[in-house]
Amino acid sequence: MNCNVVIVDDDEIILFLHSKIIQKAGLHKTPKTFNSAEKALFFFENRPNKEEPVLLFLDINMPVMDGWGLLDRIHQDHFEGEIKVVMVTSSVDRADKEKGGLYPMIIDFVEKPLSKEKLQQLKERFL
Amino acid sequence: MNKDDKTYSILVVEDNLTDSNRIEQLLMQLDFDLEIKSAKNFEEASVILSSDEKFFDVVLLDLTLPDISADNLVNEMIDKVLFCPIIVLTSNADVDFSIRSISQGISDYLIKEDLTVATLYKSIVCSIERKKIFFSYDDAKTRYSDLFHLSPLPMWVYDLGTFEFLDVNEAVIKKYGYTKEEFLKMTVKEIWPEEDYPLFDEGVHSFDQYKNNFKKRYLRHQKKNRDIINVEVQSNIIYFKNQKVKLVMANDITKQIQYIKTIENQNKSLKDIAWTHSHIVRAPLAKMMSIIDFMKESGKMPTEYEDLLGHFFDSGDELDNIIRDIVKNTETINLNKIKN
Repeated sequence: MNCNVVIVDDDEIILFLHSKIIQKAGLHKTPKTFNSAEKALFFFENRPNKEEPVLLFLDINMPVMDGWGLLDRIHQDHFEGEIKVVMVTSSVDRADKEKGGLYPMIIDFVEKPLSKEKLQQLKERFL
Repeated sequence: MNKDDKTYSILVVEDNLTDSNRIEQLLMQLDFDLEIKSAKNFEEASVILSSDEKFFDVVLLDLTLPDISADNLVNEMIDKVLFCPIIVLTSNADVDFSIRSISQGISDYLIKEDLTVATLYKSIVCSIERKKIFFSYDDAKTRYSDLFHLSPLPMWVYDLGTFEFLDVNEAVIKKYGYTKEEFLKMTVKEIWPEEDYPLFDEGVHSFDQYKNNFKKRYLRHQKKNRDIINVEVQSNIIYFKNQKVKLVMANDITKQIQYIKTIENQNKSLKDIAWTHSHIVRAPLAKMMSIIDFMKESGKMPTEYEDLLGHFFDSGDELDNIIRDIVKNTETINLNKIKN
């Protein structure tokens, strides 16, 4: 099955490391990376194959538009096609996780550093 | 006096048998249903007054008894008779003392030599009636007035129409710094800080103030020295000098509020610290750990570095656990959980 794996994080190093580890875990061969929420939104609106489901690894703390802001936009604009979101955060604050319950598209919360084991679990559950 | 069905019980304390017989005879001529008890000395009188039959309508007391001095007798008897009037029987020689004893609570005195049915009748009736009035008004009034004036909590009474102070207790004078005379020329509004006047005016137009409400209100008041205090106020409508007025009790909670504010500020700092640890400090650490993980996974590390890298990773783990502990500890501070 074709699907898009998208990583959004304002830190280039993290984008690099996460795409590597996603590849290694066998989740996707060519994950797409965006260093801002706006760029990710632009991609979602203009991607050619909207029937392909999206698995989004989304960082919470980003400047300008944070992860929650991006989720709100997706929510408002009636995302075309299927999207599942894994919130990725360096925060260990429980309040973030409680807030996550409000968004049905969130399938998981993972703390940085992202581990291969965690990704393999995700793969078994959702792909 | 109206003749009624009541039986009057009278205690006669008299050591002289001739005198006591004469008094009893006079009493019998009164138009009363009577129950007379007699005591020959103070000790007998004490026993009777401590027994079940201690309630008398009036006590006729001879001042010269064998077992006690006149001074002590008056004091002791006043203690023992509870609310019953005492009429002192005296000889011409002791009139001065008898007059003085009236100030101690004796109702009346009768001179034995001049005793007639008419004087005895008048004295008994007047004493009983006076005592009744005294207890129904004066005593109740002083008791309640004491409760008000001696209360350690600031209390005042104000007119519902004009908001003028009608009475204030000692605690108010101490707390607010105005004298009683000043208070009685002021309205309640004047102990409010000017910034709160709109709030006051709002209350004036509300019907709530005419209701009996024990509901607590939290207000600000201003003392004479301009200091503003936080008060918890409770009020109720009472009758004061035959008009409906409002009785207010104000508890100064300025200090408590200050404590709470300090604690709230401290909690906020603690939460900020927790937030910093959770979001800011942990971010570079997570990145470091990702990098190490990646380097280890790559399998391209010289073996001597691999060992060091392991230690590096363990240190990161340690630091991570410390941050998690700090965040967990500060998570227990949650003011939102406190419900009013």
